[in-house]
Amino acid sequence: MNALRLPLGMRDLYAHEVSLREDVAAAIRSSVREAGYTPVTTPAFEYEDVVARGLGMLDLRELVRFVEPTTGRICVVRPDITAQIARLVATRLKGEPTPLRLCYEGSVVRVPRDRSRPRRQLAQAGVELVGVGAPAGDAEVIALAARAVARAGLGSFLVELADGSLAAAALAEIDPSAHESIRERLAEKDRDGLDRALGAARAPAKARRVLEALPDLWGDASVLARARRTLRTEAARAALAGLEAVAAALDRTDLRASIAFDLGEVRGWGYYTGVRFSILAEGPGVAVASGGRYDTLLGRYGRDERATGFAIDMESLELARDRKGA
Amino acid sequence: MARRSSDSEAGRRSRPLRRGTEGAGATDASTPPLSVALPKGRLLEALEPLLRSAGLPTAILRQPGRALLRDDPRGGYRYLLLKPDDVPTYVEHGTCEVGFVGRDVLMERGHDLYCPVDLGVGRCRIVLAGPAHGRPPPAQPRVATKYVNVTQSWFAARGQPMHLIALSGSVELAPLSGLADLVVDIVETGETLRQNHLAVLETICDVSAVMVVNRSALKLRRARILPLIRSVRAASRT
Repeated sequence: MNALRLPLGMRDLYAHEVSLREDVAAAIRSSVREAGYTPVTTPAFEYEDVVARGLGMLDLRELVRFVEPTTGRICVVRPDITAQIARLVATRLKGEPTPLRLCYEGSVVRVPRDRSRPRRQLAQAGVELVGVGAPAGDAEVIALAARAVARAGLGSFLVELADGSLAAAALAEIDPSAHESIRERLAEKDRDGLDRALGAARAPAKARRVLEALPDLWGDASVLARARRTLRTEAARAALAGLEAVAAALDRTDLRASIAFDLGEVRGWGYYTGVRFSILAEGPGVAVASGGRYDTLLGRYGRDERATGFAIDMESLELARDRKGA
Repeated sequence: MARRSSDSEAGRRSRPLRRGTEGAGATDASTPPLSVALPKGRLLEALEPLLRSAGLPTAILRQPGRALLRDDPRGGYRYLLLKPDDVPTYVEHGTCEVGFVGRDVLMERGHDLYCPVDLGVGRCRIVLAGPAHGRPPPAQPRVATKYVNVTQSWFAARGQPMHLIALSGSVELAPLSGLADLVVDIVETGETLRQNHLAVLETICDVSAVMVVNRSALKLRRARILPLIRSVRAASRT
């Protein structure tokens, strides 16, 4: 049997495992189709330079790549579907008027960099909303994501809003060679480590004040008021206004989940430009769904349009659902 | 934490919209205990007084015996006693919401966790060491270590070639027995190195115990975990 084993992190689904996945997928599918989203499918692999145009610097350790024998070009098994849809919208769909509402189901492949989470193939279902700006577009997809996971059986969850532009604006004033270590400490909410990294980078006082405040700026809506008092930069004002506008727009939707904020969230794909969000629930230990605004990604493929979207992590959703005894 | 609903169709029905999560669940008698991943062994001995002064009930940890799962009788905490290397795994998966572990473990394996507090206890160094006497190491030394990633990136950052020999323990034996020229290992006082006729050549980094928190749990159990972070931080600064 060992000769027939699967690569680490790959698995088959059978019978009831498939039924469970189908139930979850059907619930999400009906939610997004009702909301007027048109299905698309994208290929399992593409040329690396095309994917990298959207995703920016790819971490080669996290990709499955190979050389296409006929052309010698490097292909990458898709680590993300959003960039593929951006390409599709800018090419085949370039004559289609906006707003464009697209939905997809498919797997992405990412090689985990640490051994505790060996999942490699991640089943996703998601949407992209092209041509609708903030805050209306954001509220539409966030409420839709919440509706979809609820219909799939998730009883209680938290919607967290974040905006990486606060950190990005402050980082822009600091020597780029220090960005990685500063980002890592921010992502860990490691106040002391961040302090040391900022000191080592000789960060200017204004940028430093912003970055030092970020690890503590998460929680309920009071975070926004606290941030407004502490952070007096132009970028902070814009980001806070953006988050408030989305939260206010969400008030006018059918969303009934608790909302939280995290101004220090810097993880995730580099293409996000505005409000991003995740849906958190007990069980999986990671977000059930995540997404956000990416107003410059389509431009990189030649069609300048604003856009936002999300992807639901099917396996995490199933875990969170089980936890609730749904 | 996110509000619960007794209704299986929760989330789709009308409920009053409420901003914020603070306070919810914290004092609820039905709240499950906080699961804390702890490293068995020497580091736990260094950690225990600090955890106690941060307000964690540690009496159950001091009780003799080999039980690896220890529930505080008052129900607020469940402790899992783990091999240090496994602490981040338990916390990343959300099996434990919180953990305490040496920074060397985090550096070696990569992780996706919050690390809000460096406790400053269990202070050690990861060092490059070699024979205290004798010839200098060759230009491409054989380096024995259990910190494979830390060692590779340290040598790579200096552009220095070497042959890596991965071991899982008793690394000091490698130069003595001729398996390797140098070792990368964690030292507290350096006494083990001295007794094995090794000397520190360079310090690669300082490490101490770190508090780690699961990414979702921090947000979902904020009312429980944020005060804990604050008290652990306060205790680690006194």
